[in-house]
Amino acid sequence: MSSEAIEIRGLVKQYGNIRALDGLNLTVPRGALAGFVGLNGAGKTTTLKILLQMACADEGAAHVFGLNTASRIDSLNIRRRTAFVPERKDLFPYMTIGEVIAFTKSFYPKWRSDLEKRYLKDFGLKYEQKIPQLSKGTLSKLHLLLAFSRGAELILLDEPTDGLDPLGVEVFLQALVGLVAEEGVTVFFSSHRLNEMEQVADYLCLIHKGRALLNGQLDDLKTACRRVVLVFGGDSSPLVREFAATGPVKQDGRTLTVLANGAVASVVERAKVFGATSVDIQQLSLREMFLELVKGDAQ
Amino acid sequence: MDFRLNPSSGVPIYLQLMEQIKHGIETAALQPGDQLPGIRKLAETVVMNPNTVAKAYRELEHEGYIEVRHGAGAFISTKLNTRKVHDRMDLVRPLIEKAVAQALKIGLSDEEIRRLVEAELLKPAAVGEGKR
Repeated sequence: MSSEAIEIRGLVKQYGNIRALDGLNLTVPRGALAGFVGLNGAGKTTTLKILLQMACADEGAAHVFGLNTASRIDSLNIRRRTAFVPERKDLFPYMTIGEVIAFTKSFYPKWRSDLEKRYLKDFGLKYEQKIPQLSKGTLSKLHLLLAFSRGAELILLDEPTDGLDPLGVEVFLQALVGLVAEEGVTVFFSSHRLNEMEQVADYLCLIHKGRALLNGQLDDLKTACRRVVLVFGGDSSPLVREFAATGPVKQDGRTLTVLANGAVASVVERAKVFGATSVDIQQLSLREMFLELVKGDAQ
Repeated sequence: MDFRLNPSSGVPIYLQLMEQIKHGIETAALQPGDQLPGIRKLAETVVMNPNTVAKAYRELEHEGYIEVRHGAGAFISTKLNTRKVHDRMDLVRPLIEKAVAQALKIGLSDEEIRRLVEAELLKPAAVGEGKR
């Protein structure tokens, strides 16, 4: 049995002349609440679709619970165990919330009526509300209820907080951490809200131009990734080239700013050899890490 | 006890939680034998990852601050000698007092002093890079 919930190796997906995935490698361990971040068009939705066989990869392999997403029989088992909330939240417009729930749960033998009742109350939903009359936020909450109540082992969420107000986001995050703590499910969710992601995620995948720039325990990534600000009296140009291999480097007059990903000690050591007059090591938030890495790569 | 975490400060959240529990012990807000909230309860109240709460509890247990009794929960260690922490703090307090007084005298601001201390703590030797 694989210990990883999701394991992706060398995934390539080409749409016409757009390379959506370009050799993507990533893993998500079981029981993780994993964030999936990246710019629009970085390949997040494509990746989620391949996991559910809604798209097929051109190269590479993706496994969920050790099952091959490209195999028809394996994929059926994956989809039995996986809930998905897509970015576009369409539901049958002529139904009420109660009818949508009754319709949905008839497909899932492991449906959890206890969770259904809890989220109905927590999310402030009522059975008799009609779908066309729901706000975007309420519709999102209904989708989350459907995904959370079906007894899935893996929950894939594509921009789940889209359309939620601040209170709605708080209730959603609370439900999410409760679900992970209580049911031991694995969650893999994409979002642009990096502060909220940082608050609840313990694992992170940062994807850019179809490749993973970061993939690991969030705490470890934050410990390894630091901004080092160096001041030099003399010429530091040779160091710029040297540090460029470590991460994005910015030279501004006497100041050299290096994003040292996993190499803080060696950067500091080299800077001292070159006679740095000031060494400042700064901690970065996820937002700062994201922007520095993505901007650095664009240059 | 009320925990306040700042996810965007750059400091890993499990370390922030550990620091606040230790601070609670040092100020006697938390006393030996006191029960800490369960992992799920704390995760939901503070809205943070349950695995991160578990990690903070594990580390605190490893450092001897708390005891985890199976089925019963996590408790502030009764074997904990808080005096020891106080003693060690008292040992360096005069040095810190002197350094801060000196810094203020030459016109550094509170914020600048804080930055100096934090920069010192972030140096690879203090961070123990690679260790964790």
